[in-house]
Amino acid sequence: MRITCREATEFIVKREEGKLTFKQRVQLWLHMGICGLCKLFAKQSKFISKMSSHLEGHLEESLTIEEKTQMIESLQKQ
Amino acid sequence: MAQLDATKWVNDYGDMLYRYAYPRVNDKEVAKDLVQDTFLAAWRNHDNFKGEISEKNWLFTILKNKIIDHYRKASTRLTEGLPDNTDDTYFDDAGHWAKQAGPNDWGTGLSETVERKEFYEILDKCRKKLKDIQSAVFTMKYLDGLDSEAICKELNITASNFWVLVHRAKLQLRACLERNWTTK
Repeated sequence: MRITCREATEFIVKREEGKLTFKQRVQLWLHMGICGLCKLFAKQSKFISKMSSHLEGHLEESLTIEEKTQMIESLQKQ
Repeated sequence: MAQLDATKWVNDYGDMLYRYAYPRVNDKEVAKDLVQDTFLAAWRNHDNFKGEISEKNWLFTILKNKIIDHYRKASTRLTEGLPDNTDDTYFDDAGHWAKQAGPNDWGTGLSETVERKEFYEILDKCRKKLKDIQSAVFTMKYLDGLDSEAICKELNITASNFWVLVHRAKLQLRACLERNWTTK
C-alpha cells in the first residue's frame, strides 16, 4: 500500500522515536526509494532534532541589572 | 531558619534559572515572570526546604513545575491550536509536496563545519514562530529529550494529537530554516 508524502513525513518524524509498526517501516522504505524530496526531509529532520538538543547552550541570555534589582526588592518586601 | 539573602539568591541563580526558562517559553517577559515567581515561592516556603537537595536544585524543581503549568495552560487551548490539515501549505490535494514547498538540498549545511552561531540564532527565531502548544511539545521533545508518552501525560493530550503537533512543527521549522538560513 502506497503512502503520500504527507504520510511519509509524519512517519519520518515518528521513526526518530522508533514509533513505527513493521508495516509502516516497509511503507516508508518503499516511498523513500522513489521520493527524493522525502529523503531530503528525513535528513533535515534528523539534523533539526540534533541541533535543537544543543540549542540551549548557545543562547546568551541574561537578566538585566534592573530586572535583578526588581526581583531582589520584591523578595525583600515579603 | 537560615538567614535568607535576596541579593545573593538573585545574583547566584537568577541568570541560570532565566537561561533555563527562556528557551522553554520563548518569551522574555514570561521567562522573567516565571523566575520571579520561582524566587517568591522558594522564599515563602523556605521553612519547608530540608536541605536534602542543594538550594540550586530546589529552585530548579520549582521552576520546572512552573514551566509545566505554563505548558498546561497552552494545552487547554489545544482545540483552537491544533493545526488544521485542510489549510495545508506543504502538500497538495494528493498529499504530495506542493510546488515550492518541497525541501531543497542543504548541501554542506548539514556538516559539522557550518557556521553554528548563525544557525542557532535562526533556529531560535524560527522556533519562536511555533504556536504555544506546538512550541511546548517541540521543546519537551527536542530540548528536554522526553518521549511522546511522557509528554502526552504531562500535557494531557492524545498520542495522535501529539504526532500531528510534532509533525507540523517539524514541517514549519524546516521551511523557516530553509528560507532564512543561507547555505553556501
